[in-house]
Amino acid sequence: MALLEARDVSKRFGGVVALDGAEFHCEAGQIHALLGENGAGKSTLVKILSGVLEPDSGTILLNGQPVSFRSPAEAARAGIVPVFQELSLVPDLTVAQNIFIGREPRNRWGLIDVAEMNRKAAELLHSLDFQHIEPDIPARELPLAERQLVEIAKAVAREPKVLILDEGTSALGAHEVQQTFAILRRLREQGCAVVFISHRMEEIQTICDSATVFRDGRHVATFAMGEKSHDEIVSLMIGRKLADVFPPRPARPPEGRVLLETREFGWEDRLKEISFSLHAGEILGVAGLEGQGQGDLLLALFGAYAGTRGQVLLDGKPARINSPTAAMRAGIGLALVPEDRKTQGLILPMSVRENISLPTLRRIARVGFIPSSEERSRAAEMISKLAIKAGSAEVPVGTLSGGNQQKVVIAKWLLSQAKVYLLYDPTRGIDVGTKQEIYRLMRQLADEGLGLLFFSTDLSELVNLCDRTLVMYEGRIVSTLAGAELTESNLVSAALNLSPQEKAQIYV
Amino acid sequence: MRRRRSFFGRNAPVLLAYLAFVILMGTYIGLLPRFSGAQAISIANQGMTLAIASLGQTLVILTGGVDLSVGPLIALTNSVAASLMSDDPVRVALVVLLVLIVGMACGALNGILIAYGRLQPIVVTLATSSIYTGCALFVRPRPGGYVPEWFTDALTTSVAGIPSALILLAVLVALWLAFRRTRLGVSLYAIGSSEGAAFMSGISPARAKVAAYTLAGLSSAVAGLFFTAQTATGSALSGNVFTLNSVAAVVLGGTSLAGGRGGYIGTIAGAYVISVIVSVLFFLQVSPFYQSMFQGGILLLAVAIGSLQLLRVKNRLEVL
Repeated sequence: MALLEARDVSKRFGGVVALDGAEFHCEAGQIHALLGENGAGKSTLVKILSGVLEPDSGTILLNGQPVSFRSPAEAARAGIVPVFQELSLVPDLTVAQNIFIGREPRNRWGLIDVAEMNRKAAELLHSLDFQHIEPDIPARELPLAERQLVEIAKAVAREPKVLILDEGTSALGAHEVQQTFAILRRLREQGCAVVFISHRMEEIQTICDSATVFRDGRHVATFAMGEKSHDEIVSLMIGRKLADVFPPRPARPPEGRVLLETREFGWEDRLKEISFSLHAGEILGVAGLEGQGQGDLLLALFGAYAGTRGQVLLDGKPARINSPTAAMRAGIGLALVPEDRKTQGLILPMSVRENISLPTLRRIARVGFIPSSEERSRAAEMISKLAIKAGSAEVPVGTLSGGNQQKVVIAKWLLSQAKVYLLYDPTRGIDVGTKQEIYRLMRQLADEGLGLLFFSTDLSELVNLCDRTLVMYEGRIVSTLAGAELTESNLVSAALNLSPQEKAQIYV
Repeated sequence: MRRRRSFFGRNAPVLLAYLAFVILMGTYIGLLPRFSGAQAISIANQGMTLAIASLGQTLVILTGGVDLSVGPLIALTNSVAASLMSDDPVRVALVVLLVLIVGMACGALNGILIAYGRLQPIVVTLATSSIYTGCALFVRPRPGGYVPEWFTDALTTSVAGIPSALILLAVLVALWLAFRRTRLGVSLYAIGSSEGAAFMSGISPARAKVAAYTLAGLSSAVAGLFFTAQTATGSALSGNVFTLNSVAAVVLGGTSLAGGRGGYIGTIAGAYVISVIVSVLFFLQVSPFYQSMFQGGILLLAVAIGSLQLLRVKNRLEVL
């Protein structure tokens, strides 16, 4: 009998179906991988299993008994403990306070026994081989990887029956991954079930006993590890052929002038010695594992970060971009389609017209006043050019669908006549149909002589849409793929950036 | 290897608040023709109402909220107390109990509206502050009432040779130090620091918020009782100055308005900085008009010094 089981679980967010009759089960004493593309429903399932979300329908069974958790605390009491990437540590509490939050040891006055708590935390960290982490330091002062280890320690301290690691190793280096694996193996021996989510296929093949693949919110397959090859697993995850969704790529490599060039560009310890050039007519992809500096690169180029190093050349001329305003005005102009269109890209309660004209107000305003006729005609032009589906130009942007909102973000920059577009994962959370329109629009912009720097977490986009793709690892560009070399498997191996020796070291 | 932040690095905002207090206090003592124990007690008493009320404000601001009903609640409890007290100690004790219950009930109402009504603290407490002022005016349309002399003496002079102000401050600090080591105390820090992470760790943000605002109501009621003893009268409109001054005291004491960071120890210094500024300006015979200008300027300066670290943040999106 399965220790934890999900039967016919469905969950919708507004119009988006995240889980559609999903099935999942895992056994005691096993490490079970949960695989799928971004948006396949893995995280939604994990949140339902751990009491963060309630399913719309379906049953969760623990030891064969139906359970329903109304909060993470209830799930934790039942023994289901999740480790989310950077989500459950309170930054201003100390390591020990975080580990024992809600279960602090108390003295005979009923007050928290801080000394005892710190001692127990130190003992726990020591037993997990994390003795370099001091228990009385606020979590916010720890580097990312150590925070992740504290998350794991916090979960282990709760003596879980089911431990869920949702990308729990993505912030860790090779040595720390090894330490984590040792902990998981120990838990497995003690009869704990571990659900393991990772983008790193090698990790999954090393540590997992069995795997379940999800696609589009549905269960696709469950199998013992070793039953299927790497390629079989990937094809189960991708499932559909996406090739015809993408516009045809021009056969000739774009040889236009260089619009944007960086030389030894850097910022803090997140971006290091970045040198590349973006040509007119080119879509240049940016790939990598989560959080290797791809997003930072776009934001730093757009002037959102202070204290960047190195040189940025726009149209061959050195440019000093120290704010988004400067980025928009500099020579040929930059445009950013940001990560979160709802907070950084759009002002949701304002109308489509107002949002579109926001970056160009300075240009169209006459002595400070906005000529409404001109504003209206410009907005109408964009709405028809990009086929934005809106009742009228006057409806609040917040009422549009995600895909149409993204088109408004692009429209506002089209009017600004920017020549270089920085796109931060622009198709995330958008349905396939609108994605297709956005791909065509991107290719159209490139054909008109613009340069597009395109960060995406979707490998198929990077492979099928881009002319070239930069691969980043730990803040550096580790390789550039183009032409026949630009394949999903090459992207994945470049993104892992493991030398043969390192692979041998970790995965023996 | 990582460098541990020193004691000074960690507690810089609190130490700055005490430094400001010491400088102002030194100035004030220097100005006075002579300085006696009686004057020390009088200075302690002048800041006491604010110091008590700011305890509740600290709790609320630690959760990331704000309580704008502090002043009206002090006025309401002051009005109730002065209207019902007599010379009979039993009756006074009952009135004290009633006042504390009124304060907690009003605070709980704030908390329930904020936590379960999912309304913004600033709006809720602005609205309830008008309601509480209305209640106070209903109880005490005109200033007056009766406060027994022994009640005033007990709270504002000394008990068994020890100044009452000192005892009160010691009790407040002890309560705070104990509170920090309760689960509720940790919860308040946790939800102010990251409500999502707190929720994921099994804390109920709604319950913690109701508790914070209820305790804030209680602390306003205690402040109201002290204010009653100090002024020996009841007035429905006397408390308003404490609302913004309590926020100022908390901020001066190094507690972040964003929540999650700070504590009451700094707030005490903040409260006394504000009350000593008023004393100094009064002593220098600065007109009340300029007094508020100076007070505002000093507050701005102190907050600016506390925020210097923000200039080092390199990701501009994090500062916004």
